[in-house]
Amino acid sequence: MLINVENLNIDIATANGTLAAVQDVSFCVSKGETLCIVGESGCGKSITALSLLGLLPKVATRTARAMTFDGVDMQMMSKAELRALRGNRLSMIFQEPMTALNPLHTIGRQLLDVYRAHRKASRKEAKERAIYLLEQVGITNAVQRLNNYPHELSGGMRQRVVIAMALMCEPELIVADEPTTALDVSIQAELLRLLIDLQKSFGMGMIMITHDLGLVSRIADRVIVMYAGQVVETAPAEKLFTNPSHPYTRALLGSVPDPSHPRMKPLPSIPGTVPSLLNRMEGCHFLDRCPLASDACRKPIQLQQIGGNHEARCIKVGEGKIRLKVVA
Amino acid sequence: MTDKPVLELSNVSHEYRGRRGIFGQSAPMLAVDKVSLRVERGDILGIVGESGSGKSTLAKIMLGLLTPTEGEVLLDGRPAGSMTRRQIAERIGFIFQDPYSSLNPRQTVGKIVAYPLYLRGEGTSAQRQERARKILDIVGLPLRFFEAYPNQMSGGQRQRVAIARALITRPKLLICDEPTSALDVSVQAQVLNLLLELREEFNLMYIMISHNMGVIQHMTTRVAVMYLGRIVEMNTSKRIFEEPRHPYTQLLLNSTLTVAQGAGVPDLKVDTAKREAMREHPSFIAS
Amino acid sequence: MTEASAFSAESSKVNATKSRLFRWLRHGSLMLGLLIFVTVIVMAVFAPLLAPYDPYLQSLPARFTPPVWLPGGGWEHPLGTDQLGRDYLSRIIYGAQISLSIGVGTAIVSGIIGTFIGVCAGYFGGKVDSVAMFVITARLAMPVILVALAVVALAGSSLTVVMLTLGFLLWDRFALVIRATTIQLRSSEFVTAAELQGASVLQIIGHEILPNLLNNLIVVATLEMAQAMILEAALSFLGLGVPAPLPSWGLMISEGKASILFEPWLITIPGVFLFALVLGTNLLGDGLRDVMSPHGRN
Repeated sequence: MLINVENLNIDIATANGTLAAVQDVSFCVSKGETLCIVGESGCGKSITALSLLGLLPKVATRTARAMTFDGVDMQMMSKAELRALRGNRLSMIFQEPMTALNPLHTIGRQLLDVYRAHRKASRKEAKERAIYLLEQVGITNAVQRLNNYPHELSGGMRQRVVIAMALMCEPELIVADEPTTALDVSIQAELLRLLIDLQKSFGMGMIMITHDLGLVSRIADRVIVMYAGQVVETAPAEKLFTNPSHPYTRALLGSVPDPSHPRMKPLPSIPGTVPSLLNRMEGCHFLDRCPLASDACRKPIQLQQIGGNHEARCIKVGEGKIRLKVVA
Repeated sequence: MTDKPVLELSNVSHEYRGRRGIFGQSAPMLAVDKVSLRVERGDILGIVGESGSGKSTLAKIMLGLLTPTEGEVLLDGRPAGSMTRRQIAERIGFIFQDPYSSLNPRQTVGKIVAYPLYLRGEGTSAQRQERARKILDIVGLPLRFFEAYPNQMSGGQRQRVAIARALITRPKLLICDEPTSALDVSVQAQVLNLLLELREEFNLMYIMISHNMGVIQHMTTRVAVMYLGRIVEMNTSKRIFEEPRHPYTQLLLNSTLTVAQGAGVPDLKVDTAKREAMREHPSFIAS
Repeated sequence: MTEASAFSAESSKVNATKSRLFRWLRHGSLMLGLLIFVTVIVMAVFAPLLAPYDPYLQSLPARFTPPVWLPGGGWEHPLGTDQLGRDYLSRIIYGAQISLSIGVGTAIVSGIIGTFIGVCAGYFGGKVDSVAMFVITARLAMPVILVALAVVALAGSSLTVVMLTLGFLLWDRFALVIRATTIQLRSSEFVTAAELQGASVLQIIGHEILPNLLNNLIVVATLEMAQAMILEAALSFLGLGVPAPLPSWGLMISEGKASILFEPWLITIPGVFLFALVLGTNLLGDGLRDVMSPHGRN
């Protein structure tokens, strides 16, 4: 097992009190496996990713029962040890490529710097690796491209460079936070295809943070659905999409406009808004928006086994098909 | 009522002049290249294309923010160039992509929505407020938001405010530029449902500009596909999605990741030759 | 980090006023600046009630009385008396009025000029912007003290002249900040929305742009006030600022400089007050910038 996280909690101190941004999230990823963490904005998925890399903002505190990378306890690591891990065995790709690239340096220099920060390698070796990876991510004229500055490249090109940069040190695990959301659809598909091809050929583990259920359905081995700081459902991808069990997962799947819906007819949508995480809620977080809610849902609810690694945080899992309301 | 199309573009082109600098003038860029289209009663026209396809420039031309370098824009059969901004605004409303920057953070929701009426000098202050309340109710915002500021609201609620502001002057046509791309999926469904409902209620026509093929397929009657400033394919929505003719339309449809477990990500193999072929391929314009 | 800011945005929704108050209170230097500033305002406003003596009342027998903590001083004149036997504490208290009115007056005059130039440059851009930038650059090339000295020397020294002169010299920071913010606002979608609805330029500036400049104006005004107070003191010290016998702190330092070796407190006391007021005003300005800017919200 590459990374193992048990009962991760993240609290954020705000002016109005403590916000329980992530509550008891557990997951693990093995080599070559893709885990997708899916949810809407504010559900805690991005901050979960940041915490894995030790990049939480100062106001956030992290606790976890276990958090190991390749068997080593990440919570005991010093800042220097974490830095040695980041960009090396554990890499990240963010949504906006310009946040990962320094506008003042050529991409060649940035690629080489990453490699030589973690490896005892000559410039020549580093350069060869950079050229090899730029070619791998589909950049033509790799040798000349090394001398380009980030602003001389298009958005799609930049994200390719970021992917190449993330792969420089042959990472074992990649954490990607919405890596293609900012790009055009055809480039999005092309880059995703590239990313998973590279993942397969290098045998890397991947944690993909996204809100795009279409994307999840196509690349995930395992899926975690998060809502308001909690895992509401976790399952192998094929089970999640054939038998979505939590009302939130179903509602989310139902509200994606796609050819299965009758055209120009109202889509099922989720009424209401996400609850504030400032006041710790006892019962189900989806209570106020759920068509099935009852008084029993006000008690604390644990993840319920559905069978075969499939769990959902809902006491009504067994109760037949859930009808979704259509609201404007 | 006349049966003239509400909006008609004939052979509209727009060229961005190159910047004049010390090294002389850089090459001009043709952002929109001989575009003709018309929006008629009952239409929801989708315009799809990627960044740089010219769809935002086209939207600016339709709104009268840009004067095309060539061609003509007709509103209700009259040239838009001869109309005042107010006359255009009475016919066309606009909804921006980002509900966070399209609302003035220093004005209350009530003021924002009533402002277009104030600009027209319609009614007394009390009457304008009354109409603002009514329209906020129609777009599904509770009255308690009337005195709220935009930063006290969620993205979906803000987009409802933007829709209310666009509708208060009763335009016939609403141009929506990526109206839901800044919103979460579940909220997106709410806003799309609202747009469909309003269409019935106000007899509205829409132009939906989007790169989300799922939204376009769900929401439109006709679709125009733009590539490098040109409309490369235009047809009824049904036919575009069932039998796309132009290779670029096919590429767009293939690259859309619909929910399909286990289908994987398609290998599009877009190379220079294919791009060249898409550029050279003749347009297919029906309807 | 976007998620974290999303959360704080959400939390500020819960109780915006409470959280703003909390942010202000937690900002130590802002509170210190505010404390000093408010103290000086109280001094200025209630000067007739607070001052034990008339600040102009001379008493030659009592001249050069040292302050209470030095030998020979007494509680009769807690801060001593000056070379004409005037009570130093009373003069300091009345002096607060002069510093503050110079500060506020200059900030208002320069604020109006700077906002006008900045908004025009930022909104219209192009040639207007080039001209405005040229005027700003030309203004920056002028040595403030020298120009002020020349104007005051020609026009005669009075509170109003100093105020207006400084006001016409210190608008550059207003203009630059307002110009930059206006450029940003100009391209925002709510301005385009107003334009699409047929709003006129004046309506757009009044309704959409000016209300969004308010935070910036307050911050720059505070910093500009501090600058004006220092300049007033400098001009008065050079003898071309506020005319005697007005109890300007700068003038008091100037009048004390003759006896710097024997009665150094004549210089240090107004010096300390001037230092504290300028420091306090600057802390206030910096602090306001922190709590008002969206970036300082974490």
